[in-house]
Amino acid sequence: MKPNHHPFPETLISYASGTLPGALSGVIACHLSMCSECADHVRHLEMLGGLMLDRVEGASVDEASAGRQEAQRDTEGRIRLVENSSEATGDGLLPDPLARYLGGTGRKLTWEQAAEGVEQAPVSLPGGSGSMRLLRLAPGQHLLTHDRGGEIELVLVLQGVLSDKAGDHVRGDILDLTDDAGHQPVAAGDVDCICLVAGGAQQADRIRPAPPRLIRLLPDVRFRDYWSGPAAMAASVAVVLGLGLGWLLAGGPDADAVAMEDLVRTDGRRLVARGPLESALQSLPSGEEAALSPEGGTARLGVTMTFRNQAGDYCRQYRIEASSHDYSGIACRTGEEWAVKIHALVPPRISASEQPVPAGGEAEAAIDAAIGSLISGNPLAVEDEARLREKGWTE
Amino acid sequence: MFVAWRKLREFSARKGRVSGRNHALARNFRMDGVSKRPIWHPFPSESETMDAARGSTEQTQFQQERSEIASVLEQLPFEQLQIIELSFVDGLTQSEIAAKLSLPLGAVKSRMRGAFEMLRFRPEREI
Repeated sequence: MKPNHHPFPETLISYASGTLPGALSGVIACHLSMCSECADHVRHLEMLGGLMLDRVEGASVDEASAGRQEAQRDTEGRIRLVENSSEATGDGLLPDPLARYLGGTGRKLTWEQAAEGVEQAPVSLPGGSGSMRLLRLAPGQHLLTHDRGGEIELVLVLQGVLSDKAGDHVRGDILDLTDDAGHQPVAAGDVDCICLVAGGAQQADRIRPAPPRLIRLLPDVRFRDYWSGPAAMAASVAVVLGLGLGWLLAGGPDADAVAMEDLVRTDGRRLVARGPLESALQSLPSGEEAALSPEGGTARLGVTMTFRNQAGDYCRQYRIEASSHDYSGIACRTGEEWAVKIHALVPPRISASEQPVPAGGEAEAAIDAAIGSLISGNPLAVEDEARLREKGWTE
Repeated sequence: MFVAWRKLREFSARKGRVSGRNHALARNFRMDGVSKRPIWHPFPSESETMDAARGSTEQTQFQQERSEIASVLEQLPFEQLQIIELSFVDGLTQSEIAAKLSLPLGAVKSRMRGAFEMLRFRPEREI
């Protein structure tokens, strides 16, 4: 029987893009296993996502070594879920993905009384995934969308009938409550209604580590000899995640992007330093920093080190500490200009809040890897660098 | 997540076509690698099943769908495209996108719905 009630489109999009909290993803996966229509939608969304990635990716990466890395990673052994667990599947009540999950973790469901006429069986998930549980409602019982077990955002009916203003929901049907439209689902019919419910997106959101946003613009960089270690993997992200330069320069979604407009200009496919960034690269000694804006302000711009790349050009790593974000990048001297090779958002050096900085050191690693791939020899000594600065980098 | 991106590249290089499914990998890796969440597959061994199910006629259908979706991508209004990109490429949640673009959450949702409708009723679809 085909389900008649489906998740909202935006819920499917978030599922397909991997941004839905784990608990909600689990419910959606269970629905997809019962609904070929939504499974098709998700497949198409995944195609869209794939095409999107093709669109944004730029420079070529050494594919062979990328494959090697992956093979290595696979042998380390990731969690593999048990394919068939007849024990967990029981009488066919549980949808396959849930049965496989329970089978894979070796955990069993334990029913407990939650309220009069309501039993629940929590499904334990890793921290930060939100909450998931099975609910068994006696006929006539209301499903409380917000109770001590937390807020419920998705409901998948597994047995019986659950009714609300949208109609009757039976096995395979989803009640998507993410629209906050005041649903009041009630167990209709004359058998217990069993459903899988999940929520906790808000909590999961807070814990979820922010993905590093990297802005990649290095058409002439080849990551040749640096494909080892985690830094190299991060570097590939720097290459792959070629987020729109257009946004960066157009003042885009980022508050700091306005300032970026004053720091770089485009020249064909190249990004060239200008303004304070250009003068810092030209004349600021490594290890020193200056105010980003001549009018003062808190944003700082510093140069970290100088080195020669394999083409013999001088390159300098810089770091910008702005109000909300820090950036790090590398620019190389070509002709009379400093061409920006990589520019990435990096975690703040000191976290403003008391919370530990979430995983995000990958961007730093990407910069390190980029340096590793560019550098020829050692970083320049202080006196060599000073001489070059005086000569305007013409040596 | 990095592994996911690596894997994406690897797959697109080797098979030259699997872009669609790559995103399934990305999703699972994001959950697996970054947040330590369980991998939820709608179907057992998602990738194998989907590959095995794809004979030569299905291959043609796959290519057909892919080119339809590519043309949808070209036709998406900027507002929708931007949100899809923030979701799929940057991996931002709906609320993160709303915060980033200073939009109400409802606007993010409705733009996602708009994109979804474009995908669902693909203009060049042959029925």
